[in-house]
Parts: sequence; C-alpha cells; structure tokens
Amino acid sequence: MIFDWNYALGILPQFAPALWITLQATAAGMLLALTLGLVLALLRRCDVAWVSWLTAGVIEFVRSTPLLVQIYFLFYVLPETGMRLSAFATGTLALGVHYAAYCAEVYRAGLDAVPRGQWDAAAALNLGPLRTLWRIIVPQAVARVVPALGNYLVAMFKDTPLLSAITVVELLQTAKMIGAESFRYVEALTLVGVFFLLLSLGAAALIRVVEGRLQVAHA
Amino acid sequence: MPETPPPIIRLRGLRKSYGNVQVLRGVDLDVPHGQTVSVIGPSGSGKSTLLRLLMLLDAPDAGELEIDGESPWTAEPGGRMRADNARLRRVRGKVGMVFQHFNLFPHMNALQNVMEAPVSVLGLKAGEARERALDYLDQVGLADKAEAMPAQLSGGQKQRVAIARALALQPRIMLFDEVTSALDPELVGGVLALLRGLAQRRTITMLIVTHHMRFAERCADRVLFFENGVIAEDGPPAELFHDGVHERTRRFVEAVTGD
Repeated sequence: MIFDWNYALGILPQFAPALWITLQATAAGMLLALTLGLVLALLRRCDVAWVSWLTAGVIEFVRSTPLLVQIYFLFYVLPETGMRLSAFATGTLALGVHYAAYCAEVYRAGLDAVPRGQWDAAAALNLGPLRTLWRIIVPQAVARVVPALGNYLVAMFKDTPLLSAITVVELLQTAKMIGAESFRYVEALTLVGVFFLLLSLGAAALIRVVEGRLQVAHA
Repeated sequence: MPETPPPIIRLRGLRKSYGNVQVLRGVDLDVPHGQTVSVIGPSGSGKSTLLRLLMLLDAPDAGELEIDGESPWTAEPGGRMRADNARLRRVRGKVGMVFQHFNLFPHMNALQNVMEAPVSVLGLKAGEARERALDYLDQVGLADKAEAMPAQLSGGQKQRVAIARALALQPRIMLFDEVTSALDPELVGGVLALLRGLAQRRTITMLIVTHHMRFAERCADRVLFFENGVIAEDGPPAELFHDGVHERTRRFVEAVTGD
C-alpha cells in the first residue's frame, strides 16, 4: 500500500464541491447554533419558572442524545410531519440545534459572569429589559466566551462527516465514492484528513484573531 | 410663612430585609426639592440600601415610598410589593444614581456610555445625544476623554464619566453611593469638588452617602445619621457634628475623623 502522490493530485479537484458543501453546512450550522444558543441561554434565565425549566430540559435532552441519532431522526421523521427539507438542510438543522444546546451553556456562563453592577447601572439609567440585554449584558457576555464558543464551532465542523449518513455528499462521502470506484481509499481518505486538519487550524487561528480584537476593544 | 411645597422624596415606615438580615427597620423621611443631604453612619446601617430603594433597584418589604408625589409600588394581597412597569420607568426617570464601583459599560467609550440612555430612553437623535453627552463630559472636565475606553481612565475619571452619564438624563434627584470609596486618595478631591458644584446649583436634590465628614459638614444642608436600619439623627450639619444630642453620632464622627 503505497501513497500515490500523482493519483492524490488527480482526485483533488473532485473534492471541490464537497469542500464547498462542508463549508456551507458549517457556516449555516454555526449561525444557527450561535443565535439559537443565545436565545436558549436567555430563556433559561427567564423569570417565569416554567419557561426556564422547559428550556433547561430541552438543552439537557439535546446534549444527552447522540448527534447521529438526531440527524437520522430529523431525516426520517420531519418529512412525516409534512416538513420537506433537503438532506443538506436537515443535516445543517441538526448540527445547528445540537451545538446550540452546547453554546447555550457557554453563553449562560458568560451571562452569569457579567457583574451585578452592570445590571444596576442599566436599571438606574432606565434602560428597558431588552435594551439592557442587547446593548449592555450580551456584548460583555459574548466577549468573555468567544474562545469556548470557538472550540464548539471547530467541533461542529469536525462533525460534518456525520451528514454523509443521510446522503449529503460532503468530504467523507466523496472519499468513499472515489474509493468505491477505484478501490483506492488511502489517498482519498488521507486528503479528507488533511482538509479537516488545515481548516481546523485555520479556524482556530481565526478565533484567536477575533479574541484578540475583542480584548483590544475592551482594554 | 409661605406654604411649603410637597417633598420630592417621602418615605414612611420603609422596611427592607435581605434574607434574614433586616437592613431597614422603618425609615421616615421627607426631602424637599433642591436639598443636599449627606447620609452617614456605620457600614451595614442601611445607607446604601436606602439608595437602592430610592433608585427602585430593589422593592421594599413594607412601607411607603413616594418620589415626586408618585408611588411605584403597591402591596399585593400576599404582602409582596409589586410595581406597575410604566410607573416604575416613569419614576426611575426622575432619579439618577452613581455607584461606588462606577459600573461604567466597559465595552463602550466614555461618550457612548453617556449617550446610551439619552438615545434609548429619551429617544434623542444620535447627533443631539452626542452634543448633550459632550456637554456633560465637559462639565465634569473630561471633554478630551470622550473617545477613551473605561479601562484607559483613572478611577477618578471613571467616576466623573459615571456622574456625567447619570446627569445626562437630567434627573431631579441624584443618589451618590460612596462614590469616592474606591478611589485613590489623591483622586477624591476632584470628585468631591464636582459634587460641591452640583449642590450649589440647587437644581437637583442630592443624597450623598459618604465617609468624608468634612465634606458632609461643609456641603450638605442636612445630615442623616443611620444606625441599625433607622435614621438615628437628622439635622443641619452644624447641629449634628458639634452639639449633637445623639451620643452615638458624636462618637461615630469622632471615630471616623480621628479627632
């Protein structure tokens, strides 16, 4: 079993569409996870007890069940409820919701870390509750948890191969198809690994830049 | 004798506990508009709690609290105090507060800190709010620091931004909660001078919780001595500091000033 560099270079272009799909799934899933996660975290803090408990239950449920099961569940059950989504949309939705639950816990820690005095100052300035959250509390909470959010987003990116289970032709699925055609798996699968490695490193660097920016803004 | 106008602050039997600790045990107080009142007393005697209740940050357990003739709280059948939201916001709009630890918004520069409430609460246009904010920053001597982030300011500068921020809403009552306690000694003078200037204008009712006895004596029309959650003594500074009838006040002042 020898790694054939020429062959690897030859199949490289075939990965372009898959790479694009993977990046799209990551970006859309990330957007959903970041926004839904924040909404969940805020509902978790709601003064109305049953809202808070219900949200806590949803978060716990999503965190405690495997992502792959959630992906299958949405893929096979959503159509039965009349919601017809593409495999890509279903998979992205599952990724986003799953990681939203994790992001919610991260946001919660960030919200808890904003000093009480900030709430007092906002109330003393007569800012309304939504204004207080949006302008005063949330920006400070988010700035504190960018690194933790970043870790989950890299983790989500690395979970995109699970979408191959519901026919989304992302990187892993492409590698399997190439392998099935040519009976050579080494090059294709290695390339998939390299793609993930490079992109994860890139994402981590990007997160550090964002983190640095935020720290400068707060200095 | 001219008829006295109704007081801008009126408290009757005000009580407040945190957990099992009774912090205020029945406070009665009338403050006419424009008066400058110093609030002194040992720590834990309820001074800061009084200000929190006046700012409507916390609800009283019992008693009456009226600001400018309006009472934001009504007792529910169970005895808990409940605020009507619109009235709470309206009454809050008449009161401003400056905190011991400044509580500036760290992600906004000085100008944005001062502009935030005029824009979002009073609905001023950005340009108008900016002008007003710059004017108040100028009044506290920080026009040149408008673009500075809070972390780049000294404690005294932060506190002056916080004062400008509260003044920018043009409240009728200003509450100062130990505003110099977190400052380095050399920065205290500037902030106290600012308060003195405000007090002299007589346009704002001021309640100042402070440990600076000389400041309390010189700048206030009236001094309240708090002890064990009640106002133990209440009078003009000269009376309280020199021929106080209340033994505890005299001893407290002596202990604090080291005379």
